[in-house]
Amino acid sequence: MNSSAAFWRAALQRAMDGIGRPVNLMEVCGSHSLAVAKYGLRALLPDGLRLLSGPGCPVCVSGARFIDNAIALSRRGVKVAVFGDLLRIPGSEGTLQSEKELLVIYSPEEALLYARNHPETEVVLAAVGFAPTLSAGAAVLEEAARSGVKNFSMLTDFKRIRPALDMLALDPATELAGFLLPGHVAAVTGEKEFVSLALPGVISGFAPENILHSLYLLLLQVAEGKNVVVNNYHMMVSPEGNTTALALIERCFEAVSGEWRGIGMVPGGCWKIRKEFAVFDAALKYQLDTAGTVRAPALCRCGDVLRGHIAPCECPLFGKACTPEHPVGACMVSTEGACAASYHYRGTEGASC
Amino acid sequence: MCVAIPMKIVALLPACRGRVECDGVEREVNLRLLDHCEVGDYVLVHAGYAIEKVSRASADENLRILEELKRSLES
Repeated sequence: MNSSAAFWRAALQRAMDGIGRPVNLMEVCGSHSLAVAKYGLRALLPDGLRLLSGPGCPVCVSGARFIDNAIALSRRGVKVAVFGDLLRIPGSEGTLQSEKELLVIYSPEEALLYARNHPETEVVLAAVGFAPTLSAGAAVLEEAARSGVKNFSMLTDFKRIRPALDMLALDPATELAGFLLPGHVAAVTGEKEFVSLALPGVISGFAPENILHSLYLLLLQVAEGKNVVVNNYHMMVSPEGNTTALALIERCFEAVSGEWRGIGMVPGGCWKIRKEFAVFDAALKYQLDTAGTVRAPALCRCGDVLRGHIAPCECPLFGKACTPEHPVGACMVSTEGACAASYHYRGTEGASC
Repeated sequence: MCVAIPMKIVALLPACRGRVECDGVEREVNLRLLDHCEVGDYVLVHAGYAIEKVSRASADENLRILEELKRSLES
């Protein structure tokens, strides 16, 4: 994308010249963090334009309490089905990695299938994620209810990104001017999830040129003092989203306030299994404590990274005490975490900071 | 974790399932989250589920808008 890179560099520069002041934008999707680092897109940004990474990696914002509970279940002999990304996320005292009763899955329905094939084994699907994974989780929950399976339940820490954006938009420390909005979340939720944000937003796909184009569209809004949600990923995102999936989510889950790692309490930012499905709610079945904050490890600045207060390389542990092989904070674990993405592509110009 | 890949449906299977393909890699996915789909449709696959249909017409429209923008900026 060399000629294209020069083109976008010039276009963004021209837009910034028109604005005449520094602009901070934020992406809030792990796949955007990864693409921005991989293609070194920050190297193409004109002086004064910063692209911050926000809390877009669901694994990174999953609660330490959630990990603690999954570990506790495994030690009680329950088979805990998890996505591989979650294995090395720190809880308050350790990770899931060394536990024995684990089933590493790609799709949440594998957990239900395992439970059906092993009726003598108690199985808990421990799942995190935003709207795409939430819709898959809802499909599994409804299928579990339909089949009447007795040895299956779900420990969930699903998140809703919109309320977190409402919080971040008002954060005086970042002085944000707009959001690059997550394309795959929006494929499920539709454009409507992001209307009436306090800041301009552009829903973007993941190809480098699409991201640069979306940043340009954000700058146009900043220049014109507009504040709307623009869809720049029509191929996947419609105004209404996937109404079948949204209706299913609505039947199975309700939005509640809850803890985001590094960010704190987000009003309406978490999803709880509805009482109609209570028999499949592992928190109730095993009387788990799901509330409360767990403190971050000393010196780890994941919370500041997730809020866009610092870039990953500004953390004193980055690349020294904290690496993907020996992660201290959650942002260094998932490949889509802001720290891990920056670290992996650290040799690429414009990968980080 | 939030990775989602557009794949083409090559066969419909019983119980709301389908076989999908991308770059020569085939896999079976759950189609329950979609209202109606047919062989040849492109779908966005995440965690074993097709979470939305891909609109080819909109993709072309996106490309047209981008080309128009580039022309207007270059002139």
